[in-house]
Amino acid sequence: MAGERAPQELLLLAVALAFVAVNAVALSLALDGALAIGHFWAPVFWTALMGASHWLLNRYQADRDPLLLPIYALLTGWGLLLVDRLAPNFLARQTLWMVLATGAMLLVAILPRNLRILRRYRYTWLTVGLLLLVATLIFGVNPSGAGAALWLRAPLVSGVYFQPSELMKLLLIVFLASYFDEQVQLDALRTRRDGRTRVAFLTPLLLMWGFCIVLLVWQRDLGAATLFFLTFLALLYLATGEWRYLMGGLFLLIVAGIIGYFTFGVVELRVEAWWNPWPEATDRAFQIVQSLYAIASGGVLGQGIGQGSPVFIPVVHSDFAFAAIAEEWGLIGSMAVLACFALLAYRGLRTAALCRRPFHSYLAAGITILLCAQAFLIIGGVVKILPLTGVTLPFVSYGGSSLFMSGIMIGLLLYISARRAVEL
Amino acid sequence: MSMIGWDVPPPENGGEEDPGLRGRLLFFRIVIVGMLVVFLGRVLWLQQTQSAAFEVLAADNQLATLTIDPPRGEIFDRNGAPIAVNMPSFDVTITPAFLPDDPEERQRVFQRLSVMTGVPVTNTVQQRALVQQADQALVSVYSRLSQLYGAPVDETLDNAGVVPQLPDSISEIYETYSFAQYLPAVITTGVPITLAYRIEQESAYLPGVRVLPQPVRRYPSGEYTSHIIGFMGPLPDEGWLDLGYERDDRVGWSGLEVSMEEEMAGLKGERQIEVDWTGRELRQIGDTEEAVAGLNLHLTLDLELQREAYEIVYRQLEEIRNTPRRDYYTGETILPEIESAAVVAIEVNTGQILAMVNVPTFDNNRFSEEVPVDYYLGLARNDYEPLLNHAIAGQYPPGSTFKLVTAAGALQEGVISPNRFLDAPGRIVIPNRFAPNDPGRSQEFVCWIYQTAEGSHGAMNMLLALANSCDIYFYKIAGGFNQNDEVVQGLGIDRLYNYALQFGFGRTQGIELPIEAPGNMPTSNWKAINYGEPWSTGDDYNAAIGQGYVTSTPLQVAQMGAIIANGGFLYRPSVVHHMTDENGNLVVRNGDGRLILVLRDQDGDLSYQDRQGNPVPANEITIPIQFDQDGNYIFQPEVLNAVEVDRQWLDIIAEGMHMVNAEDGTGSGYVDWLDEFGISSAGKTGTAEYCDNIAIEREWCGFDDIEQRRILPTHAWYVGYAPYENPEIAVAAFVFNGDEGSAASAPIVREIMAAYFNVDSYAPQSEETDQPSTGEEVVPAQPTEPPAEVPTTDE
Repeated sequence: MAGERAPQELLLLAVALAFVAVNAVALSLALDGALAIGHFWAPVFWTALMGASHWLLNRYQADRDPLLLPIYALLTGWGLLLVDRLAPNFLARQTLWMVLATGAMLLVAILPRNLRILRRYRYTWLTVGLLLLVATLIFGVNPSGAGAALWLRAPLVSGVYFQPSELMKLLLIVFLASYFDEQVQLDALRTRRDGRTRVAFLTPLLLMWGFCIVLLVWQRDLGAATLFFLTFLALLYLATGEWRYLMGGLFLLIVAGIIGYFTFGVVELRVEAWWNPWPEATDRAFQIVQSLYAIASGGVLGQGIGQGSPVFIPVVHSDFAFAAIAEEWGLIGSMAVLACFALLAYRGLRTAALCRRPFHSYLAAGITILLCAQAFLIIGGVVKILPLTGVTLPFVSYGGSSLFMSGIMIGLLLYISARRAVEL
Repeated sequence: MSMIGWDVPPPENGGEEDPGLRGRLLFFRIVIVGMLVVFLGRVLWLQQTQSAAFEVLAADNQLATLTIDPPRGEIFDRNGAPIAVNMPSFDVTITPAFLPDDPEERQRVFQRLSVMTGVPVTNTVQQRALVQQADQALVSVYSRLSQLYGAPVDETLDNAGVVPQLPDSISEIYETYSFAQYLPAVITTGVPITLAYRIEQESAYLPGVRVLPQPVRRYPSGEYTSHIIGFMGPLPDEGWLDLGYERDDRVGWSGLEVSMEEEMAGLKGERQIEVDWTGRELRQIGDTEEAVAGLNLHLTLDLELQREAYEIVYRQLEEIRNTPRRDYYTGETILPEIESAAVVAIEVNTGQILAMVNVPTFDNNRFSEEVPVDYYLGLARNDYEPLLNHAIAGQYPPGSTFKLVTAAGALQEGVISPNRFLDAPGRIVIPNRFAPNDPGRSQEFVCWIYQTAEGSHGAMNMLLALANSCDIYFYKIAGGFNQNDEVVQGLGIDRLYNYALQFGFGRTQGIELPIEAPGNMPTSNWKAINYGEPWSTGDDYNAAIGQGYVTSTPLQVAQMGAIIANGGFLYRPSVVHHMTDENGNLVVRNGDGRLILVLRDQDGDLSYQDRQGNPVPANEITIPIQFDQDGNYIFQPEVLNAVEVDRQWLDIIAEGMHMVNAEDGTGSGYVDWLDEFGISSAGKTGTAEYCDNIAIEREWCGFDDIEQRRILPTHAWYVGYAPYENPEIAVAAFVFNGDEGSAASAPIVREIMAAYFNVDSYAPQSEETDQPSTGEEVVPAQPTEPPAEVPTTDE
């Protein structure tokens, strides 16, 4: 069985390479009118890294899911093109992060003998996560000077910031997977269904809700709060199969949203700009209106890379990457991005279903759901189906912490998919 | 397989996973794919169906929200003569968002604009040249200072007088306002209409340049009404933005323009438009939210009377300015400096102000577009404060006019019977309370008549005391007296305070104008708190004749006259008769603070609406509304209080006032009243001794005792009303440094009454007969009340 699907993966990687290469050429021609080296070094790095990844994974994790790496490759490659196109001064930084993320992915996918360390020390991970949250509340800064203080300054290295909430996403999934793993087993041993079952699942539900509220109140981090809570709800439902938890949780989410609407200016602003952006098209709803213009002008085939005007959208390179894709690659490009996430969901959840150990199932499902939910939130916001929440489009958007943690998550998925038959 | 012994074993069925789990994972797969399909559908919809509509918006045209400024309410006098109106004026503006993006193109637009308007494109070169011409040491010191304190360098240099700051150039305005991309920034205001048309014609070549018509306030009656109407200016601070104002709006700064700002401003409207790349409007999006016009004010003021009153005051000031006066202090005969006067004419039965005069005055038309610096500084630095409405904000001792209050209190409290005669020598001496036998420490109080040939008033009762303005009589009834078997229990300051407050002294009365001053009415407690000294009999004496700590505004003195005239009612003084909307319908402010539109149909039935046009039920209207047969609104006077003085006592005071204007009264010395026209009158003179900053600067105040008196400048008061039998109008006049009230102020009041009753102009008596100074009292100031602000002179 070993490596029997490697050719598939290689084929898909070649497709991604072709896409990136063609677009790099097009970008260079569109912007500079000639082939300029400045537009090619990042794709070259990327090609080398993906090649190495393929080779290393073939060697050490031959049984892995063959679609995960191509999805990761295509989206990160696309992301590099976008950063080059939209915010070229960030290209070097983003490339560096891409290298680090891919390295971390490979380490996570290849090195561990098992994942017991994640499962056994769940409360340590939870504590680390909470400490990070507290540290952000106290020491948090915003590198751009103003706005929500969600970053921690890296010690020793100047100019490097890290967003702890990105790490917390993973820690949270690990903790929850481990916790539910244990609780479900305990539940199976119980002879009598009594209130303790409820308590075991309801207590974290409420704690989690409170935790997200804290995030919202103190940090105004609308995106992270929503994302954490959605992921948690999905895992809770997955573990218990209780519809009522899911419904109750969604109800709590709506309640929090309503409270936020009446309490925080930022929530009110986002909701109003979502409901009807036109009265303030030149003012507070400028971003979303420009995003709609950009998407609408895309057409089926798009304007072509470097030929639209997505830079009218403020912070297009992080939050509004999807709008830029829709403008310059059109419906085809949008479909490709959406298909990538659909495939990721399909393969990730398939991996989860095939796992023998519930912990692995929960972990794989949690990661998949988190990545997809994050994509939903931002794509939904950009096309004005949901209110805007400031999260990145996984793999594609500019943002080091996000890319790095996404890399680790893909690494875990690769690992689990390769070892799904193993008990621990 | 377990590291820890009690670790839970996996489920029994050979590692087979929870069967439900697969189903739930499938569920999530469907949810995720479903969501992605929805997004794809949304993108498809945006691109396929909305693309054309958005493209038009995004590529060619811009959306802009325009606010529609409502016309500001205008102001008319009681007969409908215009006092404040709106005239069109044209502002040349640039809208940063619609200017060319290319710097060279933009520069070309600026240059063309500069040629047409005369505003320089940039003046950095000239500014730098000015800086180089200036004293370099000063420049560096001030620049450093302003950097230290974070102040703008240019402004600091300008304020310090080191380097004048040139007016803003087009480039500067562009940079300053480029943060507000879609708001027009004003380049220059008030351009001629021909230039406005030329710029509009060239607008295709001048993208972003617009001419905006801007209403400008005009005041046809100018300086005659400037203190009442006030003027407008730019927003005083950022706080106004929260009230719905915009940065370039103008708001009231003084007078009715500020106190009735809310009523006159109206409500802004709004509409969204699409504009092309030159900034011209293409079409409107959505409905227009119409502006609601500001309310028109109809004043109680009679503009004709107001004008005449000004003329009268100017004439009178000119006359006494040219009458040589002997300076008590130096003994020289000089021409006095007479610059300041205030007059209030009021309808006694309603509290409506008919005329309110302040001299010196200013022309509020000069503030209508921008504040001319030199003109403003000239006004602001004038000692006589021409910008201040002295009629309601000037606080002076009321002098002998205040005896009316003392009389009312003493009669009502039974301190004195009106028929009792008191001995009124020229001077009385009261022993020191703590050293009754030490003549060196006793206090002497003199009457004005002590300086004249007569030397004393003899025996006086209330009517005579009022008619002759006998100081000694009022000293005795206010502070008490117990010598030579004559015992009078005085009214005392605290009872006097009670009556003074009812007459409107020591408090504001709620006129619609801003900065109404309360004046001061002391109590014994007040002196203890402010001076740390007990109230003395001497203080009672001074308060009795409106000196010492008592101060009042001309309005309060006029109101006192009106109270005597109308039988004891203090009405709220009012300059606004009523308000109307743009269709002429009455608008009133309801008791709950809402503005209510009153609609009157053919049959005289009333219905009510609020400002948004919603009907208001009649039972929510808490104020009286009346119309006469012709459908004109009847002014509804508001009684602030009725004075607690019996009618009989008020009648006695009125009779005393009538005697003031009769033969031998203090009011008739220089004036022939209106009896020859069949109009009888009543009044009271007053001459207040008072030293303020103006007098100190001019060395008018002498504190050395000359003939046992301190010499202070004397200010002339007169308050009167007419007709005596059936009073209609009360007039108070105050002339700063006017000396005797009978000579300086009484003629003003007489003339204004003559103008009001429309009788022939008064021809002043020729001054050939060298009249001795018998007509008026001069009130001695007492050593018990050293004006704290006056330095003691060593000379």
